[in-house]
Amino acid sequence: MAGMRRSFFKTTWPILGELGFLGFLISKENGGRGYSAQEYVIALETIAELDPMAAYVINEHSTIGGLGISTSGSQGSKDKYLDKLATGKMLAGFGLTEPNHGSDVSSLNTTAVKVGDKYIIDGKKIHISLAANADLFTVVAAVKQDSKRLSTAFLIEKSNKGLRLGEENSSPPGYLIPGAGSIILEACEVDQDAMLGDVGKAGKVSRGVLEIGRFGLAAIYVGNSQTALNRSAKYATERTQFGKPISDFQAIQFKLADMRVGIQAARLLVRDAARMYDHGESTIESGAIAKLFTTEMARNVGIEAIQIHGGHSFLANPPIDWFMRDAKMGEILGGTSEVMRLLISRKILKAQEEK
Amino acid sequence: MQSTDEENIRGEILSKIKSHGKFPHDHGRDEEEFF
Repeated sequence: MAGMRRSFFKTTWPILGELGFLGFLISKENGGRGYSAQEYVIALETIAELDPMAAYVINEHSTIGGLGISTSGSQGSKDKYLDKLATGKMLAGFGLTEPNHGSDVSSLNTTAVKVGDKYIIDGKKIHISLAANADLFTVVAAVKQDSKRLSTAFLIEKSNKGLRLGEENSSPPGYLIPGAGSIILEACEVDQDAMLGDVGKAGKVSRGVLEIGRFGLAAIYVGNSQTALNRSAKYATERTQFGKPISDFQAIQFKLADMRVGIQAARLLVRDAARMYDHGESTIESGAIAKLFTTEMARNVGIEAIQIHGGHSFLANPPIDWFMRDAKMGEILGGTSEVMRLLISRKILKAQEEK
Repeated sequence: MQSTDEENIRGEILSKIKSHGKFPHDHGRDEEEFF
């Protein structure tokens, strides 16, 4: 049985705005908190301990959804959107993946044709985490220029007449993704001002936001796993067997210790990637290491949490299987574990070639 | 970044959540729309 929190955007989203949790990465002059990446992952991990879905939506909104405006947007876009994004009056989503091209920015079917001072965009984007609820999308399209197709990022509001929602992803294996789905663009007209960066620079715009979004996602799984450990330790001290708490048994103690080691190692990998990001260094490798290790760690922590709860895991309220199911989704979201391994091994082999 | 910075950020987040009182909602997940 899969579960989705359809009420999230009515119940929790406005509260996140009231708490000031939607503008962590937006500058103070634009109504945000102006956090560094290192500060951001601590905030995200803390929130994820309490509400992983909220942390997930915050990360999508703050990084791949809205960060491109701060880093590459026109002054007009900054003035128009940033304060609304910081306060939750608008929710930002990201559309890169296509039905036939995955997330490869160099071979997109979605096109943007310049007509006068406008761009006309046509295409379809799928697997958009916040499709049903976002008010503003960053969409990557190929601009035809001479014989070239130049990947370019644009901002498109949901209210645009040329944008409509496609099918919704009906049954994700975890609990984190509310209202994921697709958008369809048909003669979707946008101003030049809606472009992020320059023509042909979508790769640069996307990489910047995807990198922090990726280790941000890892931070969420650190927080989520910490809660799994906390609940497991609590249960182990309360549940008695053979006249004593099960936490007295080494089999349980070893599980708790292994969970703790994994979580702390993951935490440090996330912090390291964030530190590199703040220093302007590429985090393609460090972010991939952090995400790969953390999501696989989270899956193992989730499985061990179920094992510690034993038969009670069928009855636990709130359910204990959440952690394992959320973690499995983490091995796919934001780049699969296989893609993370490719990114890491490419760096190893490139360094070897250069020796 | 110092460990005190980390404690400050974490403390600020938790303090805001505590004073607001309406977050997280139902253990951070609600089951009303399970299917």
